[in-house]
Amino acid sequence: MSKKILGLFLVMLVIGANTIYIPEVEAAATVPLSITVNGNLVISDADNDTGMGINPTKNVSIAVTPDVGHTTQSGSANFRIRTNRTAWRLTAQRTASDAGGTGIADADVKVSVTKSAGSSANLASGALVAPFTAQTTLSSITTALAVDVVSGTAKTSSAKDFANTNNWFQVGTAYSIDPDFFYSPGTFSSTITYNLVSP
Amino acid sequence: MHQYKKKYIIFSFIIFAFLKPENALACFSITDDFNSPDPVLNITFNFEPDLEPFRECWSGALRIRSTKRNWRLVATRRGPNPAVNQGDSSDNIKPSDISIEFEVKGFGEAQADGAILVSPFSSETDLSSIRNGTLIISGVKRSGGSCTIHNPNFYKLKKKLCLFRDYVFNTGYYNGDISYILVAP
Repeated sequence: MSKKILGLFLVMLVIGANTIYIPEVEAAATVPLSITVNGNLVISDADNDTGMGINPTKNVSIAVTPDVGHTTQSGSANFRIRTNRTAWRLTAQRTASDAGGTGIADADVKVSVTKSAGSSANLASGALVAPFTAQTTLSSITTALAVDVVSGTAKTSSAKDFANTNNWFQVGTAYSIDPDFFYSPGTFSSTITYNLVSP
Repeated sequence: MHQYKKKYIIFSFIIFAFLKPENALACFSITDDFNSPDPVLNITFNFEPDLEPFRECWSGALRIRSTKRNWRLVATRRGPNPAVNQGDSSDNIKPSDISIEFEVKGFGEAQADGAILVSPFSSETDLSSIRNGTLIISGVKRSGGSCTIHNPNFYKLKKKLCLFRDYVFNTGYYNGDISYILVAP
């Protein structure tokens, strides 16, 4: 009898051994993912909108020859702004002008500021600040303090643009002077520095 | 020999005979390139958008050793979720913004065709393809016969994650994780 029980036990053991649950063997690796996106403010040359064109120096030369016909002479410097900050300002400050014997005053040089945006940028992200909302003069850009030219309230991009092709907010600055026989021959010069800042 | 000892030896033999040897001796391991088991590989992106270069990438590798012929590597993803940031939620970094590219190679006795990257991971895809228990590799051959984590027979899984430094992404901090589990059968 005991042999029969032992035999039955053996058979059950063999069946059990063959169907016994063997837990899955496991090994693991963990990859924590951490992403920090920092803010950045970039000004580039609209005529060289690449990494090489960041923080450009733009020379504006206006040659004036007085004549009976009245033709305003002008020059321009255009910048592109990109930022992912939600509050930013474009400020301007000027060095004291050197009239160079011309008799030209700061108030004689007209300044116009315009804004435009690429197709993946937000034109409303920045607003012109008075008096730059209309044509003004060089005297509006003071030498003592930086003045606000554009006030930004949102990041400049409105859509992804991995290649930075159309996500630019452009600020166009134009400078002009009316030829006048009052002005003496010579060279008037001044330097304006535009800064993109974030509080 | 005592009768009970004889029976014990017979029992043991039978049980061993009916157990599959590869199960009984199976070993699995995931290590990093330094052969540390069950590694933690930190992916850290810390960038600011800029005109150039456009992409920020991270690369890492895992070593897989298996003495079983049938095995799987599965992955589960959490996030990346915004922790502290500002701006419209539509401009947060999403899993689909992070590309991922896998490459698997066999070293030593591990044969190249023993580990197969499962679609869509056979070519570049993005993190949204990894969800909960997503199959990454289907293993059909063992890497070798040894169980030690230092042996030179292993499958190497290279991973490359990239993210464009786009100006549209909200500034701030995002976190998440991907866990890889090697299972069988």
